[in-house]
Amino acid sequence: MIKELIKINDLSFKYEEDGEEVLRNIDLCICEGEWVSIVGHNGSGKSTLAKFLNGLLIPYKPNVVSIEGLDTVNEENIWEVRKKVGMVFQNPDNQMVATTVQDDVAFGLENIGVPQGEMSARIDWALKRVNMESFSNYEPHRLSGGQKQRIAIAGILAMRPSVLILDEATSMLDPMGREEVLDTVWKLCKDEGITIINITHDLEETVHSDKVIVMKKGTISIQGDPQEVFQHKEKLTEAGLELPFPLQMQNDLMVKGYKFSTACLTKEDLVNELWKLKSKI
Amino acid sequence: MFQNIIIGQYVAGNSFIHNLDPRSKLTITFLFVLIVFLANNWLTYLVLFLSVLTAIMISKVSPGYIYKGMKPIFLLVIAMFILHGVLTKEGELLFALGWFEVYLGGIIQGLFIAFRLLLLIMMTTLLTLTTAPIQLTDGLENIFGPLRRYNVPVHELALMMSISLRFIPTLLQETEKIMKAQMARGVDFTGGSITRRIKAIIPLLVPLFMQSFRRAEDLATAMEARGYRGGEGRTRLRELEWAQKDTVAVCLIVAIGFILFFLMS
Repeated sequence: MIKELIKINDLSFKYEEDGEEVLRNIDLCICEGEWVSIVGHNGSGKSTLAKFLNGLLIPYKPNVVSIEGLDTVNEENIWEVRKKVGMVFQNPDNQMVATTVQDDVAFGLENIGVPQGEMSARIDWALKRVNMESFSNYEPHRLSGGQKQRIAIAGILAMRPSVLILDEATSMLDPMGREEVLDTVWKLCKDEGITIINITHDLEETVHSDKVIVMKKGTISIQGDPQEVFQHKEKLTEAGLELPFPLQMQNDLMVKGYKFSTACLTKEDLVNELWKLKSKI
Repeated sequence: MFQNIIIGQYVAGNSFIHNLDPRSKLTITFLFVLIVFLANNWLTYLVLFLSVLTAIMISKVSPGYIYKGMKPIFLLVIAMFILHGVLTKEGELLFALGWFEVYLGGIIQGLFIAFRLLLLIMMTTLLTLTTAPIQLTDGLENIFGPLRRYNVPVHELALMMSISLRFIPTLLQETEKIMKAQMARGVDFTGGSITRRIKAIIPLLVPLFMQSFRRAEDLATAMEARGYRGGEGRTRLRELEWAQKDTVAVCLIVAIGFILFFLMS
């Protein structure tokens, strides 16, 4: 049976007492080993939602957010939760603490009190997973953005979490760095069975996920697998999102009167569909 | 412009001195600073100079680096020499120019003081050249550890120090970026009168500060997300180890201190 890792029950939240609700009645369930994408425009509440997933924000009442059965409302659970759920943030420069790569990977381990003898093995293992094993003595400023993000991932990986959250972790990277990071994470999801929650405003990144959650003004507007979600093109554009290029292309062709049987999420899909069309004509 | 900068001035190596525990190196440097003030005649200075020279030789650090570390301080050394040379009115009068008189005692005193300063700088440069900044903070944290009992936030201070070290190059890179951006908008950082140049720094400092505050906030969140909860219950990747050689090294410096004590006049 597939294990439910994260469960959210009717979560609402506002930063200020009399402010606007940033999150409204969120219900969510994320299972082990899944690749979940949370997409939304700026201010849709997606990053706020992420902060609830590892106890950076805490709900007002019990039984709202539970991670592997631990209720985050309980102060004592928070440190356990942070061990299980790791988070990579947007700016690669602002999350490295130590002066060398290996010290930075060690930072999380030191925090959770891993004995010293165990550390270097764990660091090596984590650095290998992100293909950075030859950089262990580098200083952060000598690394590229993509490399820094991979170090951040390694730092979390070393703590052996079950969930890895990428909070717009690729938005400040160049296309190369972005691909490096996404490839790395993809492997972690498939080979190590780590649950990935990728928060992004780029629908292209969501194409291969198991589940897509579209956020709009603090609520979940659509959720389901990509095929389902991409059916609701209007809702996606309404949420301020740009459709992936193949889908947009297909859309435009449909407006011109061409008929397609399935939604094309990748370039290969689109090319295949176009061939089919061509052979019909 | 700020490329290839080295944090602190650590030069990696594998000598006896490199491999000493940072705590012993800090202790030795501290003791050396005390001992230098014992010296008051040629013989004692010779002993000190020879010991520093030996230390540099053992460390296998190229003298060029030591020289580089001393360069910014030369002006101060010369100023000290002149000041003492002019103000100390002892011994034989060498020459007089109206009210301006120079005595032999003054020259000697000036030389001693200048030499003392140089020795201090050489020793501390050697310390920073052979010890990685992170080791230094670890060492300091450990040495001042007992102060925790008196509510001194030793761990936090050490962490602050190592984070500052970590961000120096980042901030320099950022300064360069902002400078270029402002230059593209017509700010002239190099020309004009002093007041104009100082004014030109404002559009550099404001964004730099804003960014730093944002950075601090982001970093705090990231640290918390990685389970940071203060010094309590933390383990360390780099455990300091006090070996026999550290004891030997500290004993050596104490011995030099005693020798000086007997040689001083």
